[in-house]
Amino acid sequence: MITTLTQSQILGFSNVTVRIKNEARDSRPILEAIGLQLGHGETLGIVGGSGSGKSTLLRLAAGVLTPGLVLDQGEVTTVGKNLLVATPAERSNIYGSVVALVAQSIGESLTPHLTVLSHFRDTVSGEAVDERVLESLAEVGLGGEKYLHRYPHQLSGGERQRVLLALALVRSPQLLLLDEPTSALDVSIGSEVLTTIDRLQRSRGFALVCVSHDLGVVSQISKRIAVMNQGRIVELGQTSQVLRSPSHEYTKALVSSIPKLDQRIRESSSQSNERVLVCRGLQIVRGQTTRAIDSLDLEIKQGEVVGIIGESGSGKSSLLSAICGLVSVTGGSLHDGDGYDLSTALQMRPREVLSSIQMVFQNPDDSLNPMRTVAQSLSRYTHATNSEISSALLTVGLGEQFLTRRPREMSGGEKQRAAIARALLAEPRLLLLDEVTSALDVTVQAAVMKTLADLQRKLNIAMIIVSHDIALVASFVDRILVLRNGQLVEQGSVDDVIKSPRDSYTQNLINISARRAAI
Amino acid sequence: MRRVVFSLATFIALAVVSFVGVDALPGDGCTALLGRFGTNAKIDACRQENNLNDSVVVRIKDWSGDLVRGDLGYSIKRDEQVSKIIIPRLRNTAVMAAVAALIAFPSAIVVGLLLGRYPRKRISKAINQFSVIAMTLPEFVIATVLWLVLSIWIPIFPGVSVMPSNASLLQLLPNVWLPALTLAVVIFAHSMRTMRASVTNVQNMPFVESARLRGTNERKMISRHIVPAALPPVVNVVALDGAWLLTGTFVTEAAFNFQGLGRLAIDAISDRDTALILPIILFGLAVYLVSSILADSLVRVFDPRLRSSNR
Repeated sequence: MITTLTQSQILGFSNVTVRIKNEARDSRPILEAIGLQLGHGETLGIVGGSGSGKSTLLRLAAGVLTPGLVLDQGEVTTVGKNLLVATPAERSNIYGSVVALVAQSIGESLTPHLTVLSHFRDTVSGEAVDERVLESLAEVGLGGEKYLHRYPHQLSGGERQRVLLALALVRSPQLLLLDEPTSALDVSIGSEVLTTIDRLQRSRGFALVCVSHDLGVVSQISKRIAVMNQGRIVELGQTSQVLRSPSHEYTKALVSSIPKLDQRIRESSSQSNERVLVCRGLQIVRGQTTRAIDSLDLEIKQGEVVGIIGESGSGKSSLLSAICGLVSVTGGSLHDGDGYDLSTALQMRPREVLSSIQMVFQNPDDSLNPMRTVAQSLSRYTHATNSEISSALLTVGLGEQFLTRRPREMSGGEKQRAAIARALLAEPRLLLLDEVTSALDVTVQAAVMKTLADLQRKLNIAMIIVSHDIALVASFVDRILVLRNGQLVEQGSVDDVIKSPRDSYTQNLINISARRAAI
Repeated sequence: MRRVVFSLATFIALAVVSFVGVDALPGDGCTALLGRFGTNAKIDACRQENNLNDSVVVRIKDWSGDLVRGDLGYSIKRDEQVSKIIIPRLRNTAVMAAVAALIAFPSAIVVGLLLGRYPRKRISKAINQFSVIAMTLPEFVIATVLWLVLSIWIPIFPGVSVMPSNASLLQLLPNVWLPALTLAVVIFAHSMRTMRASVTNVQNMPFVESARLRGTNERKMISRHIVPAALPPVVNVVALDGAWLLTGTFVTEAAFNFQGLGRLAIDAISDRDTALILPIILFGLAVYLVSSILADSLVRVFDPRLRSSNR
């Protein structure tokens, strides 16, 4: 399986160990004894959770060692050279023409004050620059001259990723390194970008290494997969084989944690006829004229779990923000179960109303104060006693030892559980969950969803869960709403929507999800 | 455009506030002129003659009407048109400011860029430390040191300017150097440190690494990616420092007896020459408003995001 013909090798890691500078030898390294070979035109996907070392490995392949880290032992050979010891001039000759890396943060990877064409002019010179640029933009699916003179902020996320791809490929490198090519994109757009990458790889025949937390992403564009966990490659093999019969425990967890459309992780609970939220003809205008939500009707019953699906800009976050009072309502009506008018400003809401609606945000790093311990964060505003807090922590699967921990001493999943426990302490009747698992690893994601399902059964609270992942939502909720451009394009029970979607956008999401589940 | 109208309104409002404020101070042109020899009767006659007994509203109207026609007013104390007093001194200060700006700003941007590019070099750290000292030292200390070195030990420049305020440019130039150098030290440290911090910040941005990984060479990295992204914060500091050069040079001008606007302001205040104080205040106001408008429009040139958000 491992290429032995070193002449045709384009990338080689031999026994590479990377540590944090000045850290003790017995501490766990960032990368440990990595051995990898990649031949010309081969494709390799590297999958792993956050902190698994996959990005460090990818950057090392481009000769970049993240500041603060040291190469403890081993050697990295890229196109026959050790780039780590190359001079800046040698590197700038190699980058773009032999090796190209597209970094993760596509929002910030283009220079904000330069047009698309100016970006190309950095490295493309000579005659007929414009034609060459147009050609390579067309190749990534950005046809037409209109893109040449746009600035990065005038491009959508998918367009930026395509421009970055075109920039990386314009001088035909032999090795393309991709770091999380789709994590910042909507599902449908990400899927289109992957199709483009796959097509280009096949037609041009460059070698490709793609890093992602998402097994579905890497398996779509690479023939071989390396699974990373805690700095090691725990499994390496042909994609189909790794997916069909994973051998390592972590890989098994990874494969089984991909949400599948026909799998339920929560059974529907009893719903009463009492309503916890009623909105009629709701309209939310953001900025000057943008209608984030337009004439939406929605009712949520006690104990009901509703999923809202939509891509960025569909208005799903605006809706949640309006319900919990962070965004003002500009038209229609929004009431809670007791008839209290929720279009009033947050500051005007009485305490009972405030505590009856709780929201858990996408990123626990932003929603937990880094200076406070969990006990301090959870008792503020709720005035809960320590025993109340520890029982709330227990319901989300966190032990008493977490009371005195600060966010930096906790993993992403633990932080998100603490944030959920905080929402529960207010004893809400309606819990709003905004992409609560999207910042978490897939394996952790499944565990958090399981916890939420248990909670819902035990406490019978109503929930609105917003996500871009239709399979995740379908496995959890009673009813699905699909939002697009601020309008409700489809709603119904999970079965109705998944089995017979009426809207083409829903159909597309289901297809993508089915393809991921089928890998 | 909205910005200009808003600034104009701010200017008018502040002008009125300044007028009322100066008016509320004890003493006016007549008490200043007559000093301790002024009997009540003499002062009253003087006020009558100069229309100082009119109500504040009437006087503001007269004064602003004159202002629009280009008449800055009349100093009773100095028995001269205010414009005749101010304009030559304004020229002197402007020449001094221009010399200071030409010395300080270009070098600050270049040195700031180099320090940001090579933060670990020992020379970088030394310059950085030195700039902290330069920034914290009071102007009169810098002035004294420069005077000691460049006028006493190595006599290149005259230590104290002995020239009439309306001296010709040729007479003025030798006297400009020491005060201009003093001011240059202060603003150099300020804008250089801003540039250094901004370059350091920009260099760690993902788009810089992204450009490097595409094979952009070092020269283009600096000229096309780093410098344009690093300049906006510096432009704002340069604008503020530039405005300060025209309006805040009291100490330095006093230290070298330089016949500029700062000296004049000190004299006018100690003489309670209200007619002279007001135009100086208004000039300072106008300088700050104009410089901040200029800075904002210049920042727009560097950042397309700001250009499109206003359309």
